[in-house]
Amino acid sequence: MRAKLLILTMVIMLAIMFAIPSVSFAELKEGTTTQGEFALWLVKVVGAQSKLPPAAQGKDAINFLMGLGVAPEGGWAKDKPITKEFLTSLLPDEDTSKLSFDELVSKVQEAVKNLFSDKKLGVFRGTSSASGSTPAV
Amino acid sequence: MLTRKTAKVNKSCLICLVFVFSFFVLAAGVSFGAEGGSEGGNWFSNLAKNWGSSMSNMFSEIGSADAGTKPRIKPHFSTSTSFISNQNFGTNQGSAAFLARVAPGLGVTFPVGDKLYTEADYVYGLSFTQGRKAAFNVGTHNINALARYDLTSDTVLGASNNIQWSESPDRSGSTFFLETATGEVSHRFDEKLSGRVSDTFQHYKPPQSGTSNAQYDFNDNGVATSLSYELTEKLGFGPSFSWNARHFDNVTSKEKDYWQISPGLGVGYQLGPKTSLAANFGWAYRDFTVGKGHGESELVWGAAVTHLLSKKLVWALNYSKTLQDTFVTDFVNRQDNPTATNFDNLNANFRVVKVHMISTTGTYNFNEKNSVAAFMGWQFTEANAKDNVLRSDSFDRGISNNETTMETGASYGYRLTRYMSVDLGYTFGRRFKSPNDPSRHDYTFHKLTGGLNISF
Repeated sequence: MRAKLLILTMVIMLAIMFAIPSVSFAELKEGTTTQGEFALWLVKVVGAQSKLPPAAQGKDAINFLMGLGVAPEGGWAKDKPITKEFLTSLLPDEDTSKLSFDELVSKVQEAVKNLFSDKKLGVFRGTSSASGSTPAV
Repeated sequence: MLTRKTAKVNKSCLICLVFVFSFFVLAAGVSFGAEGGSEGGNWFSNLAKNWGSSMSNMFSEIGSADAGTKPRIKPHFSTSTSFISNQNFGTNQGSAAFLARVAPGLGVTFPVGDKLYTEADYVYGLSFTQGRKAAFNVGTHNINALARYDLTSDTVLGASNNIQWSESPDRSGSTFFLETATGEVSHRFDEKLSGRVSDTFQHYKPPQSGTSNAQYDFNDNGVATSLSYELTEKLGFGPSFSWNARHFDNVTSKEKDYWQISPGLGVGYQLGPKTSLAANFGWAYRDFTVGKGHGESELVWGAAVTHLLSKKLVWALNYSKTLQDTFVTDFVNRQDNPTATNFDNLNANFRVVKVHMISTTGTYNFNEKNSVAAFMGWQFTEANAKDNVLRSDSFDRGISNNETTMETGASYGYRLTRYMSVDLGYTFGRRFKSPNDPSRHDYTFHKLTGGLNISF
């Protein structure tokens, strides 16, 4: 019985996988992708997705990146599109004038990956929830 | 008997085949999409030639164009060695010990198109403690899984599950089990208004051999919802409401069963491009199943500021007043659960503890390889006599307990290569003497840690 249920689950999963348009492909595009979308993408590629709420929006990702010290010149604006200037301002002071858009994205990705550390995040519990679920010993 | 076994094996093989097949189809589909399949062509004819390259790509370097959209397997490994001056947090410093831990792990990210993203991660940790008064090994398992589906550009469905399944240091071979599952929906109504609703289920099972802890088996279910309205580009605010109920299996611990509601209001303000402020204020009402008339009604609040002093220096300050639950568990290695610290060692004799906590952190990134960080935190807890459920004959005859705990420290991190980093840290911690409860004695500890991390 259990095996049948498992097989049925697998078949349903397969059906869903086929139904989902796997041909669509979200690329980062200069002038089109918003800063909120970019922030979500950045959190995902550095492996910090689990630090956000499961259904996180761009604002959640921006708050997380601010905590790491990642902020563009002039601050984040989640609905504004990303540009080369925006990406340059996320990087430490260095000459990036000759870099392409894709190269700048890679640089930012690398810089944020260097900043992200599970251990640093775990220094203190940062909850302000009234219904804490805190263990005790 | 043999026939039954054969049938079982066949079924298992079939399940495995379906798994493997779905995995390959998924990988091929994603790869096909990435390579321009949307422009037309025979979907199935492309499957065969694409799945192979997709599978090989799972271990290859992800470029900026496809990061986050292709399946990937990410092995990781960390090891650390520590010396702690007070391993069992005793009053005197007579229990120094060396601690060592190795923790290999494997993560899998599995995006499907640009709408569905899934990831799973498993870490096995093996810790060794060797000291004059302590010598034990502990194995831990930590599993994280996450899925998010972008239903539309404004609506996101998400689900996550965390399982901790670990041995207890003082009970060889016995394990505790803690599972936290969350389902969430978030939606942007327009450019200014957004909201979310989530349900969280938690199940805890203590080590079986520890009969005194068996009473702490519990299930917790909670629903939370919030709205956020952006009044201006810099100022946002919104109400929130949460409800949760906690039930302990053992009848002798009904005193801790409760339901709680908590309405609140949150505000966020962007003070210039480098500074963000946040605050929340609300009310929490907790009604216990036993001991009517002893419900807890408290105001709760918090404030936080994050400031980028420069591109290299980030500083944060947090303050909060919360109600915290207490249940007995043994977090054998707190790095497996980054949200727990020694501050979480609350007095389990109480069914609710009011906690004031203030903490600050600062990180200076010299360059892409070197960084230093410092932190300090103080925690003040208050627990009323009426909430002392284990040490009193009746709810009105217990003793209250107030405690103060602090921790401070610094760490240095150096990135050897893109995938490898080392760190060195020092932590000083202290709990001050509790005036009413001698079992919650004071302690002081110093801890030196060095570690290596590898993550692809």
